[in-house]
Amino acid sequence: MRFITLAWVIGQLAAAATVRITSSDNQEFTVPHDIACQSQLIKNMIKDVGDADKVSISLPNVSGAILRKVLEYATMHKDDPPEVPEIEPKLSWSSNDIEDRDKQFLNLDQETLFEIILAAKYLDMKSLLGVGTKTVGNMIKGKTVEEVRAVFNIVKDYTPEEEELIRKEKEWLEDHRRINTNNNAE
Amino acid sequence: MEAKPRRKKARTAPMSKFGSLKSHPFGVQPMGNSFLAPGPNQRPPADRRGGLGAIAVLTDEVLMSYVALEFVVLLCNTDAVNESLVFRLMRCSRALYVLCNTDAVWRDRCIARFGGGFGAFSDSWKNTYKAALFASLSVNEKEGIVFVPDVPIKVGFFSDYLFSSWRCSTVPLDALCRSNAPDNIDRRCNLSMECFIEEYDKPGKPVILTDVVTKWPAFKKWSMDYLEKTVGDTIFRAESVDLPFKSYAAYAKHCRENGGSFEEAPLYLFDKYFSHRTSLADDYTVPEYFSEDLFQVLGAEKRPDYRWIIIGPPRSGSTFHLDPNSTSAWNAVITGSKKWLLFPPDCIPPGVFPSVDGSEVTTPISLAEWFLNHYDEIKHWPVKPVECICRAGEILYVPRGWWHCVMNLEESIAITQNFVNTVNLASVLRFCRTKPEQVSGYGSGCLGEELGATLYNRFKSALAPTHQHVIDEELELAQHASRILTNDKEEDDKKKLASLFGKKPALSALAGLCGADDADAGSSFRFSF
Repeated sequence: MRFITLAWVIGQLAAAATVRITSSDNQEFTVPHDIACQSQLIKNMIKDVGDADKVSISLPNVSGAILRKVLEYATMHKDDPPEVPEIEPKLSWSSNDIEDRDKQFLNLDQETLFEIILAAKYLDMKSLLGVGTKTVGNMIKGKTVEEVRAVFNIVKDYTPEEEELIRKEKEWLEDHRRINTNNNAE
Repeated sequence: MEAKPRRKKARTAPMSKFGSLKSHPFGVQPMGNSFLAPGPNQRPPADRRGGLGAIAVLTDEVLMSYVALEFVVLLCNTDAVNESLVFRLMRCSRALYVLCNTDAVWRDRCIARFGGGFGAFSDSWKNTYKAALFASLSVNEKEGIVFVPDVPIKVGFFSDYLFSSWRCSTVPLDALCRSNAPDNIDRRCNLSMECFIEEYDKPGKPVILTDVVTKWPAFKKWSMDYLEKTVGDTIFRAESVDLPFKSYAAYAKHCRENGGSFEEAPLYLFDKYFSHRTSLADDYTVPEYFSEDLFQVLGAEKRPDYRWIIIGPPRSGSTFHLDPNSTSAWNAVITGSKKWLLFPPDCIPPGVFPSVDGSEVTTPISLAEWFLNHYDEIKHWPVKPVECICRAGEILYVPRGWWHCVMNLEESIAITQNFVNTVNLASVLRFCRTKPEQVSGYGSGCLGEELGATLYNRFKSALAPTHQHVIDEELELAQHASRILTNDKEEDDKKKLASLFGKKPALSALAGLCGADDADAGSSFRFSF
């Protein structure tokens, strides 16, 4: 019984440990240890320092607004079971792969979405990067090139000759795709 | 009579000390060039804002990695879907064309999709990918499809990230690594065992031996052609990929024929299974100087990895690192030549940042980048590192604890082995005892703390009959050292470096343990830099 009590106490102490994180625009966030450590980068920094309570981390690459969103995601997912690496990759991907709560979370303007992806990359947060990637993929999937340009506000700047060369390359791919019967995307 | 007009010197942009670079296939230029007006009839290169739209928030590096890997791995699914996404993005604008098409992206995609099974290397990673894709189609599926190899379109794009990478790929190696600079390492032949131990092994001083490798059958027989004929179908490891030797040979040939400027960090063959999978190990003998091999006591199957065959094109190599488990090493060049830089223990090279516990090291991504950005800093150091070019037929001794990097100046074939002997045993024991989570060499990466601790215990038990005194001495020194305090770390570091070559091994171990002062601090250098 004593050991169980001791383990419980240690667990409570660990949960109470917090980390101070400062964004690029000097906003300070006091974050519980378990939420902050969803970022591998922060987890490794804490490990290097040794004592979670004494750690103060500054993130010159992440603004306060984006950091707030990232922490919101981390809080939402703090009780998720740890990721099990897939033995076989999924054979069909659809937007159903994104949970509703994440779809809602990432229902944002494009600039914020890309800033979050950048932050997820920098902070090494695999699951957030994953849902961000799928969200962008969804924005491209099923659309023509013209439509993709419209979605992201991209300016077409090819010469007609360049377009022709790239079209030839795409044609080869189209022929390949035509015979690929697993294709359920287009 | 007219006065002669005074000649004005035209202002010219300063030439890079490495000469001008060949032009980028996509017409990439540094960002700063965007401030220069294009010439008449010259179309300005693409810029990020228009060409990327909202995606411009992502850096070039992140977008390329995204396209290369995230789309493949995270979106998984049928490759046709992924490809159509990538090709569609590519067609949107010139900026996206360049970022999706850079060959480094295709290298990652090719390896992610085909592993080592991409077959014959074409003239680029992109065409190798396409050819492998084409080859995977059945006869029926191939019907009517015309394979179109990619030809880069010079659209023009401003990008520091891509231009910097291009520069690292194309800067001439001899100028970059100062191949003409004199070596500052001893070269010895006819060296007796006693002299080697007293002059190099005990003090921990690098040396090149010139009369060992030339006697090996490997020196007479081995070449890329020979290896392709004898082990062409055998699987070898090159970084993250396992592939048949003949595939690697085709890749290496392409690098070589491109004057060694195909890639910034060419794929490097570094294989530890060659002794199991081939009989190549019969073509060389471990030199007598390095024949003591104490990890042998653990048994052939249960000892850390210790021997590798290393093959690479020009510009390939190893960035700065310490050899694993505090062992010493030798590196024998069979063909080609390697530029070495070696820094004494506790002397961290510029641009290299080990983590606090030493388990991770941050360095520039490629060797070429290190040479471009940090090599010149050494000019201002009061103490210079060891610099040399190790050539075919020579063998270099790397004492434990020396930071080193190696750049292949030509296509090179080499053998390297790590070892524990009486001189470095105490240091290896200490490493295994105090850093079990960093012990490496079984399978991939580090063993994990538990297995590392097991290694120490197993090694200790196996050595007990013959080396108990060393085990006891190491533990005793550790207890003694922990009682000594030092106040001035900087002074200690300087003294450690200065006194390195006047040390007895036991006191070196002490100094390494806690940076303590020692009585011999005032002894002069025996090593001339």
